[in-house]
Amino acid sequence: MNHSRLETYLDELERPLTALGETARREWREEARQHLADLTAAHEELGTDPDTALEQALHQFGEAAKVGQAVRRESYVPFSWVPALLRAAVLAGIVWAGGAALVGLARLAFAPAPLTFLDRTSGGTVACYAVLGGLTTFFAARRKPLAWPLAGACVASVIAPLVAHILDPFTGRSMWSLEYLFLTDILQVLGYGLPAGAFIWARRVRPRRAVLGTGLFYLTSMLGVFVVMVFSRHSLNDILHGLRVPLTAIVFWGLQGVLVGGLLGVTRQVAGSISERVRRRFKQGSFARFMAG
Amino acid sequence: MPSENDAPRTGTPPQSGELLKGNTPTLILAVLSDAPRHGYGIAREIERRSGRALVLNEGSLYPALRALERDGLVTSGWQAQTSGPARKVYALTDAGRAELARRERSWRAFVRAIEDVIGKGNDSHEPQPA
Repeated sequence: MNHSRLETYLDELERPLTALGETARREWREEARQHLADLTAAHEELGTDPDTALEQALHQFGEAAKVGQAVRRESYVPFSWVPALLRAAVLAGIVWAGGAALVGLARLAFAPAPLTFLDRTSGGTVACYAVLGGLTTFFAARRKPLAWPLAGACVASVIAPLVAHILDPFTGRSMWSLEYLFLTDILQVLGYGLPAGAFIWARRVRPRRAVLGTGLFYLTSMLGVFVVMVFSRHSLNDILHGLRVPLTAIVFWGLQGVLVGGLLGVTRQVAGSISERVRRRFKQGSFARFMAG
Repeated sequence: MPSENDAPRTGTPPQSGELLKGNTPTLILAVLSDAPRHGYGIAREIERRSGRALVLNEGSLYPALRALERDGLVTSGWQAQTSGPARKVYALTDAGRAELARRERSWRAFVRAIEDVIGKGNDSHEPQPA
């Protein structure tokens, strides 16, 4: 049997079930695998070669994405506030706090002069991050609630500085040099983009592993930046003084991430719950009318 | 050695496709009424009982099973095998038996009504005795 073909099919089958949780997904995958194995064996017993038998079994099972979507629809679990809030909040918190801390440290290490990450004129940037990150997360998370808060933060981190730059004349901030913008944008893409990529990749691996990977990425990156600071022109006093910036960033952005991510997670679940109820009521109503008529 | 007739077929006669789709839950409940089975077993038993006239799209079985389970009509559990990995087995609940009885009554009434209409239609085309 062509195992990679089977695994690819099962991946596709499992993909729409992200919201059901890891255990339910794993069980469904195992159940489908056994069914397909039986079906393939039945074709093989009739003299079909293994690869053709598998293809016939997959064809008979149906188009993977459609079967997965149908299973998701029927596996609808009533809305549960606490897990939804916690899951979204923890994810968003990790991303935003980790990314912000990394960017804050990197700015201290590489910027032409020590910068305060959150000065009184950075309101425009902060607002852009929150609004753009929130909107992207909300729309993307409707389909993939576990993976996309990170992608939302990533998109926001790329767009926000540019928008903030355009708004500079209105917010009173002096224009940044192109060189500095380029540097900070790259750092921000690294800070948010790589973990976001890890989460998108997590659709193929287990999300828990990707969270662990993301955490390790932040830790090692921050360690690297810290080492650079130690061996650069910064004195120990500067570094200790500068640590206040990433620490502030962790608290500030972490809280913001938890708040926005949690709200988005809940909003998404409430919207899903309402639309599911409406769909069911409509279906039942139509059926009842059909039977009565 | 299995015969050609034992081959799992990959399609359903087009005229029965829609009917089959709408009645898949009833067929599942009926097949589970005498013994618990796993998904593959359910599909094969439906084929066997129908003389291979009803061939499910195998993937469509699982959404139907999920819906029945969610509505409390079937229950499932993992059963260890003497060889090979554990299998998920579905069984009918009491509510499922009651629902099956209700569906059977409803189906028989429906078939009677259709037969009456078709029968009367045929009668009208028959040549009248002189």
